[in-house]
Amino acid sequence: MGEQTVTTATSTTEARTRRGPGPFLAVRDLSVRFTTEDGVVHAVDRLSFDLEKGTTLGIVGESGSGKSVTSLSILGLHDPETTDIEGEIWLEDQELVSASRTTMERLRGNRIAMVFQDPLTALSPYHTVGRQIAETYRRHKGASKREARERAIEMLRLVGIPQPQLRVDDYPHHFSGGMRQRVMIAMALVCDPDLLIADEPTTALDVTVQAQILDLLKDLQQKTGTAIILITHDLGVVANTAHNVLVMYAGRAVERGTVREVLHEPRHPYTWGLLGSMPSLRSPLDVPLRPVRGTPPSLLSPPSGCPFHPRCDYVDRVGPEFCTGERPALTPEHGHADACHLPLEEKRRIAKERDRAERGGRA
Amino acid sequence: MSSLIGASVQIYFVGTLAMYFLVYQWQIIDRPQYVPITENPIAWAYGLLLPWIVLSIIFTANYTRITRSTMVEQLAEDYVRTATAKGMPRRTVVSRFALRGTLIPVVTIFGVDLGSLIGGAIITETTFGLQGIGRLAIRAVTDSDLPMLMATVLLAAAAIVVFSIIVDLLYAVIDPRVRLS
Amino acid sequence: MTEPLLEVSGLTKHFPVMGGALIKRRVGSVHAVDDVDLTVAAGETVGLVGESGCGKSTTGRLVARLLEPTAGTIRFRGEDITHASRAKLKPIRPQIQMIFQDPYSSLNPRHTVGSIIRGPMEINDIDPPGGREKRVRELLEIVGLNPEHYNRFPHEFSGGQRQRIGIARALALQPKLIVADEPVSALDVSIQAQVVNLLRQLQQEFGIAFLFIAHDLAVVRHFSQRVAVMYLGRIVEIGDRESIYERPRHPYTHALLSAVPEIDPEPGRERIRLTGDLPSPVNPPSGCRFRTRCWKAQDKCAQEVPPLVRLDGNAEGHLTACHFPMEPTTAAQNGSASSAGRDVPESALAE
Repeated sequence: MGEQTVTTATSTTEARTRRGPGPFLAVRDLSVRFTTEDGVVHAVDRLSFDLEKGTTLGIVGESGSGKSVTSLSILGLHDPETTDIEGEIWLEDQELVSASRTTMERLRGNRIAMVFQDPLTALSPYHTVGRQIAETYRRHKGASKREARERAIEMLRLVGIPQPQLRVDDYPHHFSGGMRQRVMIAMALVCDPDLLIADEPTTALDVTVQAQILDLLKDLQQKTGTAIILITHDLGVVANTAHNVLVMYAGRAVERGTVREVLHEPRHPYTWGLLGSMPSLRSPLDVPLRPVRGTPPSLLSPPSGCPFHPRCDYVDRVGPEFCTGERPALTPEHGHADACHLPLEEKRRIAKERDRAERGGRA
Repeated sequence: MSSLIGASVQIYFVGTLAMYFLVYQWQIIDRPQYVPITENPIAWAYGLLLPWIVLSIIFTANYTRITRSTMVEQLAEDYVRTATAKGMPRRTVVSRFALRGTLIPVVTIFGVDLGSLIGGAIITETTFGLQGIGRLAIRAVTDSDLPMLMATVLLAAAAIVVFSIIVDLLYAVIDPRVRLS
Repeated sequence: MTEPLLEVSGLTKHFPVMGGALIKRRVGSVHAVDDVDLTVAAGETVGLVGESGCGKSTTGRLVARLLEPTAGTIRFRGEDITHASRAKLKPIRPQIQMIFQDPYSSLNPRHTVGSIIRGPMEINDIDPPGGREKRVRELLEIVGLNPEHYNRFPHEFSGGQRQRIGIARALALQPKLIVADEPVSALDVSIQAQVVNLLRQLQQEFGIAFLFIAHDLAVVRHFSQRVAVMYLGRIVEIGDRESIYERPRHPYTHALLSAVPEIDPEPGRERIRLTGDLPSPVNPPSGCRFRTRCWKAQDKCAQEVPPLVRLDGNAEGHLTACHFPMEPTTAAQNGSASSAGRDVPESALAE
């Protein structure tokens, strides 16, 4: 595996040759640091994950977990002056971190597209939705005005907006929240991107509208085979929409696996905490929730070793010096992995204990 | 920095300095005077050249500052980020998206400035020794010339109202959210 | 039969919409809340759920008398406070307190935490034994904050902590009823859980009644004994927790419950996807307001407003407002709508 291959992007040959028939999107040791007035914020710390074509990866975390920062890094949307990015992001055989601005401009909206959280502020109030959708198509595909307009109408129909030929000339403020988000999705998919990043696409929406939008994303993935990264804080959304899950905390991946694995057989104390924090429609009543104690860590000076240790109830089962001293690696390399010093057997046992305790209230 | 200085100085300061240097010391330009446009358009333009230049410098400073600060705000807007995320080239992002929002405060100030300028730029007139509407208004006050006073005030008010309406209409052109439904 | 702590009857609030070219006149009104009947017993938590525009926040503000109702009555401990004057409300206000949604804007950034919590006591001339400062420190401890932080400013605290400060402020006057308007929506999931646990603990310890307004159905279920579902200003269904979540009868309640994404959904759970948009509250549909999006709607629904009544098979206190209610189960039923369901009439899609 030691071939030398010449590419336009300079990078280590080792990483390059390991690509081959590799995953569609590969993030390797991504680190993002922001220089702010208060100091250096370590937003993302050596993050690695893969994404296969046609699948959906749910990235879950709370504020400060680095999930949004990661997605912005894939698209290269950070301010180069205040941001320090290390590591590699491979989209098939194109490396993104070191790519030139022209290359990125060519890729954005074309091969990689993004849907943002708040459709009201993310759409330009000064241009019709037709124009906003069409301009992306014209830019990347060189289409004429008329072709682009036809395409825009087609996209609006695809995302379920009624009377698209009339609505195409409306402004964003003429639409309701759910419709606006559909417009954003139409705009993102107009050039048939291979990768769609949806950053909290339904957080600002009502639950019935959210259900419609999530269904739409699933349908579209079926039709077009687009890979999707879905960023959210809601594990229920992930359970319903994603194939794989990545749980992030303090800029790192703490658990990774299929939705089944992570949500039904969780292995990281933070994942346990998240699952215990969220009541469901069927959870036992009159039993207090089991949240994660404490508050999210400071990213200016993250805790040493495992960033979760100040809030973890199981530190003493490993030996505290371990958790404060050594950063746990995300192991094993493939399949269901977690970043915790606890031995696997121990994790399984604790998970069972917690499960029993949580169900305890049920008659 | 220069825009800060430009916005802070006053017409009587810059104007007088300009007169002193350009007209008297170095004798580059003739003393400003008013020649009716119907008589001699070229002389009209030349006679008013110095006041025009000085006024422009001062007003430009203000516009520059507003444009700059608004543009900075606009570039931070979410939809500008969306435009970049769609792969639009930088100059398109700036000209098509960020600029629209910047126009609104600029248009506002422009309308108000234009209206008040027509009403009478008294200090400018005095600095350059020109007989304008401003001086007419002042003289009407000192002479207790009521009809003249009413006329000048009415003219000034009308100018401001007209330009305010124009500005409001321009808003609707610039920002679709403002349009009557 | 003890009288309820709070009794709301026919509560209505319309906000005027001004228009007109030259002269501003009232061209219509936003029907924010229409004919709402609600009771809260002492020490009970009643959850109020619904989506945006349903009127739940407005109802909360009416109950706390931050707004004056357009019609209807509000009785608190037997006394009619609907249009009570400021003087008459003075002794009542300490008993009804509010917690707001946004922990960042509901605390005055220029006041110290101590003075924020002390504020209600000062305004109402309440002097607890031992002094106000002592009480503030007690309250800080009760909500899980460090009493030493008495002199800090809100910006020095995190979102969850600020919400606790808001709760401490609400507790200062030992209220009988707290109206909590989306108290945890703006918080991270793990912090939400902490705050919800705190509220439960306070309820058990001090016997405070809550009107818990939220859009998260799972959280509401966890914390409330009874739940009311609102749609476009009206209550469409109300009942005890089990009835609403296990045996809902109203189509909208079904749609809401089926839309919640679950990690472990009930096997055979129905899947309903509403089509169309929320109608405008300025011009709500005639008859049943949900009919424009309801797959069961028929002519009768446009002609008659369905009364909020107890249907056959419902438990005591479980009321539903529907002419053609569903079966009392959340399993998929014949005739349930799917996303390829009914064509939605154009009127429902406007604006």
